Amino acid sequence: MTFSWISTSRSHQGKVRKVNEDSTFDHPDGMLWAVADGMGGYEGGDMASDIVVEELGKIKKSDVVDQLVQHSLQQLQIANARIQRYSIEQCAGRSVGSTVVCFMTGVDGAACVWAGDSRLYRLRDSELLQLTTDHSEVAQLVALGHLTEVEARAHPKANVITRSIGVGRDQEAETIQVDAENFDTFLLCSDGLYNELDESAIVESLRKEDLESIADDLMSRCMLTPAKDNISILLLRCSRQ
Amino acid sequence: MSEEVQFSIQSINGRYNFSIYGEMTCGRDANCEAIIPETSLSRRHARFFVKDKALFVEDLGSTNGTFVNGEQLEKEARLVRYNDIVCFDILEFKVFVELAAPEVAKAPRHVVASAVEKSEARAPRSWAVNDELGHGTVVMDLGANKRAAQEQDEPVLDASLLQSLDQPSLVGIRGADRGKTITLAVNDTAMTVWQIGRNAEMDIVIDDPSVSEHQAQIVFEQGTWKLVDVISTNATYANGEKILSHYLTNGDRFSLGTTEYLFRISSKTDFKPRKKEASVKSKRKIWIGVAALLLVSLIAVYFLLLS
Repeated sequence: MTFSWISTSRSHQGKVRKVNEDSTFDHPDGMLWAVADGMGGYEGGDMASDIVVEELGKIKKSDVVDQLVQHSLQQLQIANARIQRYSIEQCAGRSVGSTVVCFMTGVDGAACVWAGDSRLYRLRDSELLQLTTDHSEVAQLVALGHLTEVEARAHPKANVITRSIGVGRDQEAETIQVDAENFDTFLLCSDGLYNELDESAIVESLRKEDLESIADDLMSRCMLTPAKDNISILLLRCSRQ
Repeated sequence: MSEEVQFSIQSINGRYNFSIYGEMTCGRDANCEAIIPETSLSRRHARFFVKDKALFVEDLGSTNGTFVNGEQLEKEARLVRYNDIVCFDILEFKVFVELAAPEVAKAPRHVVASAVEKSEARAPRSWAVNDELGHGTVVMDLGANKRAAQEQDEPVLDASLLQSLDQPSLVGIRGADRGKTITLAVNDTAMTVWQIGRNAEMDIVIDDPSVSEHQAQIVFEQGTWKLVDVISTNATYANGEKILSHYLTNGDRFSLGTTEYLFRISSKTDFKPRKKEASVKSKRKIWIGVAALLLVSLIAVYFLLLS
């Protein structure tokens, strides 16, 4: 059984930031999509997320999810080294890095590779499920029961992520298998989206028929908020062939 | 993945900030782990303790009482969590929780620092240390850092890093930036300044709690390199000597806190440090000579006229 996938993406700098450090990526062979959220100030973060998607773009077409996962981890390792080099050569050694959330499909299923606090959500039968767990300090504090989700957003360490591409010696991505069914809608996004919109608002948007109108609706909802950060979304929907 | 958390209490007036390591008694008494010299507090006022990874507070029979979210404590200890308000008489503290940084957890010290401020930009974990200690008075175990540094004292220079040095650069040889090369890209005509410190805004950020927020700067001007200490808490040393400013030459070592760098410039570049200063000195010598000559001739004329 194979699925056909349609996708669309949007990325906006938001109302406060002057630069959009996010990047979205749609592989021309239609089997891999990603959102990366750079950090490091000035041009550093912008460059870091660009490097991540550029390296993911070098992945060769494959029908086997395992292969895609292995390839993407290899490319992320290369991106990691390139970002480190960039940090030393262009940013006087300042830490520069990027998050990544990357979704890939093959004949044998789907998988997600991610590092940092960019997320993958799935909407199935009006029910929204966050499939990735953030690699962040506050996410760990929430998991340990010290903070609620709401407290985590306002916590002074809300911006501290524990894994990334480009900061450590090696890439630190985590991998999960993803179960995809007919008519599932997937959302890949940077923290600029979920820090501004409640899950209920996201669900309301995702219920719309058409992916383009979902994307427009999510972005316009974000623009009604303070939109303090860059906002990037990538939407995917599968249907049985 | 670390599952250790670090509790701390921060007074709402911003004056006190105590990190809690296992147990902490608060009061006026000098034997308390958290000494709070306010007259309304008892000598031994209250005690915080961590049990089953949760934080509790109990009143130690204080005169003016301990309150949690407005409710006075009886004899029983009470569980407190993030953002709860613990009040000693009228001095209010907010409970704070964060993930423990491994190096901080090892040092059983109570860090007194100004309130943690939320930084705008998102930061990777390695920057977190920057936020933890504010601009205020910082009491920390420098010995622990030194010991930690000694444990990994055998650095250093990855051969590939040194080979790639075709530009002026700093090579981290000890401490936080050990093994890292920082290139100092220069423009021959303009003056270039690199600010160095623990603060994320610095041009060269050193992730080391023994380094000041803004400790030093490197100035490149007209072919000379100068290291200038910016009146830091922990002094800056160059070639083992405490300095306020120092002209850097190829191969100089300098350290900030427990982080040490090797300063390298390309062999192709002919830098002549101190040239300017030397010429000033020699000019000064000429003037002294001229003045002396004038004085002698004046005296001679004086005596001649007398005679």
